[in-house]
Amino acid sequence: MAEKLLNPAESLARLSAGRHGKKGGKPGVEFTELHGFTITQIAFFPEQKAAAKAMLKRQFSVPQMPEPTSSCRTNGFLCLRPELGKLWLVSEKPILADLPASMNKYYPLDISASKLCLLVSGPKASSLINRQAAVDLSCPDGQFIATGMHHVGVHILKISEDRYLLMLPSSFAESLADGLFDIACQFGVQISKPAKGSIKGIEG
Amino acid sequence: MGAYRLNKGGRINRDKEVFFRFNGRRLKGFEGDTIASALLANNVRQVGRSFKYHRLRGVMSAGPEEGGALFNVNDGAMRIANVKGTMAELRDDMQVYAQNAFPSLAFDIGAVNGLFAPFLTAGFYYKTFMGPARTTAFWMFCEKFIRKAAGLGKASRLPDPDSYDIAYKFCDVLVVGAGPTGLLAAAELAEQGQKVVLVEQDFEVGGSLLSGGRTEEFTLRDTLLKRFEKAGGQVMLRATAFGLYDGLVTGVLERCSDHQSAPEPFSPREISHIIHPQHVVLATGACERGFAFGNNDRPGVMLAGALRSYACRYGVMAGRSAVIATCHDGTYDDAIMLASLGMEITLIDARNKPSRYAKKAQAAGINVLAGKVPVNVAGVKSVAALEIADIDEAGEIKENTTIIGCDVVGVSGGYSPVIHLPSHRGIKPRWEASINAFVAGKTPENIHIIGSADGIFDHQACLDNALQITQKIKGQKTGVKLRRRVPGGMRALFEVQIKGRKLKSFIDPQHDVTSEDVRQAHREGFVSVEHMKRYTTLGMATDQGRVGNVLGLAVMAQAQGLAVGTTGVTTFRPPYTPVSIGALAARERGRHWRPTRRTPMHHMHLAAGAVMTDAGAWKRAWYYPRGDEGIDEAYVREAATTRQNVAMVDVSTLGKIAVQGPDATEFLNRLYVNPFAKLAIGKARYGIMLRDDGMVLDDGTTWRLAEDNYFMTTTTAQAGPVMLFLEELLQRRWTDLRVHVTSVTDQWAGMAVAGPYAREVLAAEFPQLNWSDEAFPFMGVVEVTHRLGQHDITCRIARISFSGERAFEIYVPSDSGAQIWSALADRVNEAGGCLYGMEALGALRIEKGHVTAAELDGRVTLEDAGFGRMASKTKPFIGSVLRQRSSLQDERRPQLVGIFPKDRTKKFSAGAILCTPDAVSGFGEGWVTAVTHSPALGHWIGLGFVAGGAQAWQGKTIIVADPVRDNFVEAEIVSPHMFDAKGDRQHG
Amino acid sequence: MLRIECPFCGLRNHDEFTYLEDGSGEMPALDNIDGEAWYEAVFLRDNPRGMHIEDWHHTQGCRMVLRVSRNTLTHQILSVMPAHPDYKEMFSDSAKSANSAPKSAKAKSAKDGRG
Repeated sequence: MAEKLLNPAESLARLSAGRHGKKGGKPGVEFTELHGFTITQIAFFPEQKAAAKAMLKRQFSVPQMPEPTSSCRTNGFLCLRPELGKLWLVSEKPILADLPASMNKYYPLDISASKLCLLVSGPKASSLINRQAAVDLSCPDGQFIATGMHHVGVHILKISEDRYLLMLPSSFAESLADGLFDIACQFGVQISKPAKGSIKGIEG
Repeated sequence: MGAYRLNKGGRINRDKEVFFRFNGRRLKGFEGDTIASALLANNVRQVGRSFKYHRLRGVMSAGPEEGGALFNVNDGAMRIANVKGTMAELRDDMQVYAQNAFPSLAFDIGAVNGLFAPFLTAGFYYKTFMGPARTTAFWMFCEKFIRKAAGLGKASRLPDPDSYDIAYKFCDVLVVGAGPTGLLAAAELAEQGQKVVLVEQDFEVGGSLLSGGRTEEFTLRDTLLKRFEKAGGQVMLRATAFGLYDGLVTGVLERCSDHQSAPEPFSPREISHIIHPQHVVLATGACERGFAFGNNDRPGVMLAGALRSYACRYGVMAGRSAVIATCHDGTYDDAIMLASLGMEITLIDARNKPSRYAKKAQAAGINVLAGKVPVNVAGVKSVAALEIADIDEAGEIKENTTIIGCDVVGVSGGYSPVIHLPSHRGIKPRWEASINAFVAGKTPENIHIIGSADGIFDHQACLDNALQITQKIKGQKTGVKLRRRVPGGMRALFEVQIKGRKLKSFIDPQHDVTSEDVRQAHREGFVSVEHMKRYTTLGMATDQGRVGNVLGLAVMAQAQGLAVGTTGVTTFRPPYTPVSIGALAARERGRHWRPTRRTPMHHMHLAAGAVMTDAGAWKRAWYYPRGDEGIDEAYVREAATTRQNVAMVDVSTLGKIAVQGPDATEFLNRLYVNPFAKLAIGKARYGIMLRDDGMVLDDGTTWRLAEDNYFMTTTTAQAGPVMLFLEELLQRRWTDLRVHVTSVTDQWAGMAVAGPYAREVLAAEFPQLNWSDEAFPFMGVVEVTHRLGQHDITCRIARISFSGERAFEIYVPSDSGAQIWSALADRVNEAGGCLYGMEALGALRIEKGHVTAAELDGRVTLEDAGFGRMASKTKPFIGSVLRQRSSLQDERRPQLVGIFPKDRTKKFSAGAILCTPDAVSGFGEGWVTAVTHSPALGHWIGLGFVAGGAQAWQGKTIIVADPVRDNFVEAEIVSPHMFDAKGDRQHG
Repeated sequence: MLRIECPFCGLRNHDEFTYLEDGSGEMPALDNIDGEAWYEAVFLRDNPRGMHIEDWHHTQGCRMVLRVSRNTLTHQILSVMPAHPDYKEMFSDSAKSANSAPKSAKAKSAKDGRG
């Protein structure tokens, strides 16, 4: 079966920039691939929780440990909690090399390349996501949800009522984005050029 | 005589004409008509033929209980079968066809079935086609004709061109049914601040308010709707709640575009909404039912309330002169309304005591007769007259009858609350004698059944009920219990039989089930209601017994001498009305049937001309043809190049797991069968892990990067299951171990460079490393920072071999995968090497006898696969005890072997069974797991398992048997290591 | 659709989870060589009519192993808890020891660990 070529840096390149699907009026959804984020995982065991909380403040100025399904922000960092004992620090620059040895007990791990960050925005953004994810999006801003879309584990950050950051496993990203695009056509969809990810850009 | 359109009235839009075709004939209707109302307006009384007997049928109702007006709609790929004409909105250019009539509705060959009626009774198929003398061949012969002769609609065989969606919704309260009760409850709840979704299967909200014909009812409807929407409530029209599931999750099918002549491009035709509410309010109403009497299926016999619906909602009179038969007061209001619109009516009441509305009816010009029941319909093409008889207080029906000429008959035997959705939850219906109908039993779940769905038929009581429920949901105590009763009392009437006359009286017109069928089932011993249903097929058509179930149970109860309602009921299951398969599949079709997984170098393979193949969800390069090579030439070239020169393959699909923590070593040591405690930092080790039952789970290579930091690889197929197993062990069993496991499969791109010149090629790309055997021994690992263009890329390189050649695996973060691959591909090509794909990789590993998931299929032990010596004798590990159970020690167990065809020109396939020559049957002695035409050996070879292993088959012939492909090949069993058995090539 | 209340993620549909197995028993310690004990633990299960303790894994979610008590007749779920005994404390925000070092089991032998 003949398949089209992909530009490696832009998984969504198969979907050309511009307006697609339903014509007329404002597009219901906009897709923007955000690249260049560094995602560093740090992990802690039950007895380290309090110390980890202090470490977050001291090392990264993250004011508190995000509650389950929540997130925290500070200058230059978005702190996410995908699992009970794991944290993801999203930053614009790599941080691993500059971490002190005292961080070793939190086993920092660079997982930046394992996720594709897709910004889905517009008045129909939540309707679109609810075509594939069975989670209640009428939750507070800043909610960070680990769930499934099309049988694949994904993460959704609610930035605001009509802005969501999807973190898709990079191997599934093209397939998932493709599927979302097909559904989005009924709302009118705008594919924007990929942009450099900024923490400010994903703040509510 | 006949049906006609009133000059005014109804909710149709008389300013918008709609033209459609019925069986090719062009007809006119209006916006707001259904197919059924438009046909009646055009005096089309015959709309189809019945399933078994091919009797003519007309419109019977005005709702989803319809058993007669079922149509094929649309041409070509858009054709839909069994469309209920009473529910389908009319649209411009609609093509409507009668079903089950050939060559035409009027002259139908199948009607001859009617002559065979005495033989076509219940259980016809079982009796005719089962038994010692009948064979399957006989049935298959007859089946072709039966299929043509019986049946409902004809589905299209073309692919469905429409798209469908599934949508997940969350709310506080889901209200099902937007009649007066549902509308009021929804409005109140929304005003209370609840997030309310109101679903209505009709194309307008209002329910019974739409067919009352009274201005104040239309006004009430408008007012309640406005209140609801103003309070932020969401209405879903054309949306049927088809199933109520665990956790109150409700499936609702929304029909988005069947009513539109020009649907929005890109919009789905239907959406299955999966709604998650905290409370479900069921205001699904009650469905009128008739009763059975002679030839009650003729065109023109309808539910009494339907006559009113057509008149008041659609402005259509179903006839000019009616006999309306009833047993309760409710029908009087229907009759009075119809009379006011010009229908000539005789109203016969099975009750002997005159109704309190009798005088009012008479004043409206209706001829009211008490103590009378219908006996038989005269007329074949449509109603011509109705024969009626006297009934006394005791229920005895007199033999002398009167005939009343009429062109339409209305029937009402009462109302059955619609309780399908509670039944989906296992809530058993119970018989409520005061209304002669079933209501739903109690439930601890947040399911609230209100209004006529709960057997409350008084209008004000229904509204009070709605208010009650909103209080209850708010958590407040509710008021007085509302009484279920049929105002004015009713006489239980389910069937009219007259002595000495054998008449066909229909209980389930859609499946042609008569009351006699039910009695026959009983006579033949099918006394359980479950058996009666399946034996007679009562209630199994698209109306799902709405009209017929109660009648069937009543006939059955009478046959058994029991009271109605004590026989038990069958269980209603989802879906409530038919749901398109497309709406259940939604987007999971075609290329989105399942998600696709691509490696970081996917596009590079395509650019290099690779033909791709599937490995689970992954796409992998199968082979890279050059020029006009086919697969056979390509993989042989690729394999040969790997063995003789250098080649590169994408191995990104392997599972990769970061295992970190102070107890990581202990963890791995408990997991793998072979020792891991002393694995040196900077070394990798091949490991096998078992399940608790002693069977091999997976194999892989784990690298030690630091004291407490490991990089584990697994097979592609088992990546997910192994990850889950690790998490399970750490959270359920070894809860004191401090280990973090993280899947990093997508973080790393992997490529293997293999062959005698692999080292040279890599040294050219990574000159900063020492590539000597001393510095980089077999199973050694190094991490290196590599500068490519503007970037510094972390690379992990290990000297590992799956192909059997000297080989190295290079892992880089996946966002650099393509660049590194590209750089290495250039070097490989410069050296005269090539890229290789799965076919070549398979050939190489089969030659070497290296196992994959094809061999380690969950039924295989270490010994079976030839790894017995790997197991540590000093440490316990997962599976260490049960792998030693006696049944797994049997020497006769199938063991890993190689297979050569005796005649080297012959070929065989994976999946073939290995048999001794004198017993080529059954399960044989073993099986073939993988085959290839070996580039190194020049003939077909296979890997597989055979009882006793290679030593048991020395000098013996085995047959490789493939009865499916009719291929039987003589073969010899050899060691699985069919090439370079000593492993010199990878260690050298 | 079973709705399972994951302590971390909240109420979710069952298709986010993988059903593991009966959670009421214990595996023998890894160095227990009694074949009978392993046979019973690995192969034999009760099949209760009514309350069942079972373990689920939140596969498309927080990856936690959950111990669930569910009625096999009605599917009603009565309780959901983390299977790991130390996880509960990670939810409460109580400032326990400021110990930043993980409590490694390295010193202990395989004997003390569960199966």
